[in-house]
Amino acid sequence: MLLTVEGLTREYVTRFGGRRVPALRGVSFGVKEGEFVAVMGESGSGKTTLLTLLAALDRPTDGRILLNGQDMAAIPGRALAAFRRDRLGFIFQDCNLLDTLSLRENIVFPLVLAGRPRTEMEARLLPLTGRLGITPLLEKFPYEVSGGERQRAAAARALITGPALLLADEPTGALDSGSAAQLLGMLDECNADGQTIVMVTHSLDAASHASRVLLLRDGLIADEISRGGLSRADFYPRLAARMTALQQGGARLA
Amino acid sequence: MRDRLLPRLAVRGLYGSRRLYLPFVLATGFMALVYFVIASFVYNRSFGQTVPNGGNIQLLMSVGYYLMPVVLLPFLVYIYSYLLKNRSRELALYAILGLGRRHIAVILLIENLLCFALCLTLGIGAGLIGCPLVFRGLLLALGQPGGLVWSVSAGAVLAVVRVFAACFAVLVGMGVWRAARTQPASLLREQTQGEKPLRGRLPIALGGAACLLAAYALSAISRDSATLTSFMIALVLVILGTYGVFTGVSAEVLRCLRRSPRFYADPSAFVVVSGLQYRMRKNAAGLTNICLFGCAALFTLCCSLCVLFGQDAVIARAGQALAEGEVGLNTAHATAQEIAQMFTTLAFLGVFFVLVFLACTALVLYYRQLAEGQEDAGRFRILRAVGLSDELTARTARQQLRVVFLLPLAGTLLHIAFASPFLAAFMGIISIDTPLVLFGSIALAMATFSVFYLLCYQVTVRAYLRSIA
Ligand SMILES: Nc1ncnc2c1ncn2[C@@H]1O[C@H](COP(=O)(O)OP(=O)(O)OP(=O)(O)O)[C@@H](O)[C@H]1O
Ligand SMILES: [Mg+2]
Repeated sequence: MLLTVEGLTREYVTRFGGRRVPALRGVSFGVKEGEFVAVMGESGSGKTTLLTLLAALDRPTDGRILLNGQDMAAIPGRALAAFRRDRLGFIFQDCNLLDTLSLRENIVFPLVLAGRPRTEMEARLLPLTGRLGITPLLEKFPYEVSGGERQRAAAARALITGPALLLADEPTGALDSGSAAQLLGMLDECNADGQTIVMVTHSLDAASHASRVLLLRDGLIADEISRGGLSRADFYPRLAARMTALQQGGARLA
Repeated sequence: MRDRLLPRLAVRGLYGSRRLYLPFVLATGFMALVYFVIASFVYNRSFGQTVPNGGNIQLLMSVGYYLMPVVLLPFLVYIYSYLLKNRSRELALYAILGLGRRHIAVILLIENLLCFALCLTLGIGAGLIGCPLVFRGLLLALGQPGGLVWSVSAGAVLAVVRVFAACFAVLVGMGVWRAARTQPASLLREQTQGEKPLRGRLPIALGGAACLLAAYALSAISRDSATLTSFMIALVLVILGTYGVFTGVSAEVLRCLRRSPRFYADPSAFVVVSGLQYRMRKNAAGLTNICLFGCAALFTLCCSLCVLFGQDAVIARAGQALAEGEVGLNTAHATAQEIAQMFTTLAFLGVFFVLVFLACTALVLYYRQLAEGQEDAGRFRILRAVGLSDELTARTARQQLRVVFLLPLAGTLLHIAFASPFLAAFMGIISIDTPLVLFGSIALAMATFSVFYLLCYQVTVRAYLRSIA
């Protein structure tokens, strides 16, 4: 197992009144090396919280995350930073591009941090941005491009190091279907090359690229659907049927 | 209900931004204290009658008394405009939620009344404790121990109330005008847009450098013929020149750095350079202000030290000259003592003004750091998420601060070094012309100021690091 999540709980304390609001309430699952896992769920079900915890950008209230069998809470800060830099790619829901850097500089930033030579940066940059269709925009700044273009730049930044583990928070949320398909195709290729992917998405189409879909509801895993040997075209209707059934079940319960 | 809502919003607003308002209130309280002390001397009736030559001493004090509000107001306006900028989002939100302009004006009025009350309480309260001591000290220094007891004078209290009420009234007016002028929606929109790249970096840099050189040259040729006019011209040239050089030169240097291949090789340079370039103009303006307040403090400090160290020689010489003349020995002695008293009063006033200018410098420095910290907080959060380690984050932050905040210190020291002919000319007016005294005072003042500045820097860096943590 690359990632093992055990009883993960995260409570937020509201600013006024100090009430505790659970975003995750004891989530357990595992991610094998080379797997492509999609996480679905309603808005506010705790998906972003989960990814943030997986990247160790936040600490759980309870439970733990094992990375290759090692408890993340026990990894010192310096090693965690190195892990994020060298082995992790994160496509943030709100992009998190630096306004002070052009798109080109934003995208190569992980390589700058890793101290790679300039030639390598260029060699990796252009194929990536070419496929994502943002090469003409490289000299622009984040506030000068559209939301979808920003998201593609954020994806390029996450992919440029070829990270062993890719966490993506709604990477296609702001994209038209064409660029979404393009990006998902790239994720598929990465996965085929052995990279592990955990992707949060609202779109069934995007989720059908995954080998396994986790469904979060109210901070718990409500369901888990494996693709098995099915092709993507066959997986999609099954996923859709399962989701519909689950939603109706949820409605009856409520 | 409504009439209780507005005060509540005002108090809530002040408390919410206490990290901004506390230093502001403390500094204004300190200024009120200084002003109260000076006013106490001016308004003390018995001083003029009991202390020999007291009338003249009071006359000198009243120069400070009239000068201080002139220094105070621009400084308060500058600081308050920064405070307002920080509150603008909140005020815009009130406007969007349905508070009218009148209500916002009332909120600002209540806030300023509260600050005003705090400032007066602090200033006059501390003054009531401190004034007797200062009074004692000055009398001792004047060679008049005992005899006179300090008493509260209503005139001095009223003077402080009057001046600060006027200042705060200006601030309220400023706030209301700002609030009325801005569109709420534009304030709410995310302020992520970077500055447009500066056009004409080279002309600005060259123009600035030319202004500075002209000011320095003016100072150099004014050694024997300095007038207030030439000093004022030099002052304006220095202000323009400092701004031009900080803006134009830093723009050019940053642009070159960003183009150099080394930019991509060093993560912390990558972050620092792009961050500085992102808000270069605002930075340059802030640095110019720090530099100019520093110049005011340092120049006054130089003058005070010159007076302090130079007076003995002048008094001895004057005494000798008088004794050799036709006046009697007793008259000569009395006149020499009068001169000594005037010098003491001058040094005393000088020290107070130095304290005021230093407080201004420290406050501007603090607010700049805080502003930088707030703007950088989001940036460093993203950097850490992408994999910048905590050590590298801290190192990068410190590196950026060092670059930014040592520049004004360097500027201040340079300006004062070149202003020494003016200083010599001014001191010449009161017959202090020993080179040793002049240059010794300048050196000591520079050393003292540098230590003070670096201490302030260390303290304010913490405010910065706290905001980005
Ligand atoms: N910093 C925070 N402070 C307080 N509550 C928070 C915070 N972040 C998230 N929450 C709450 O935790 C819950 C889960 O939030 P999370 O962002 O994980 O949802 P999500 O599944 O990513 O939703 P979306 O699909 O809209 O992105 C929500 O109810 C949210 O209000
Ligand atoms: Mg989310």
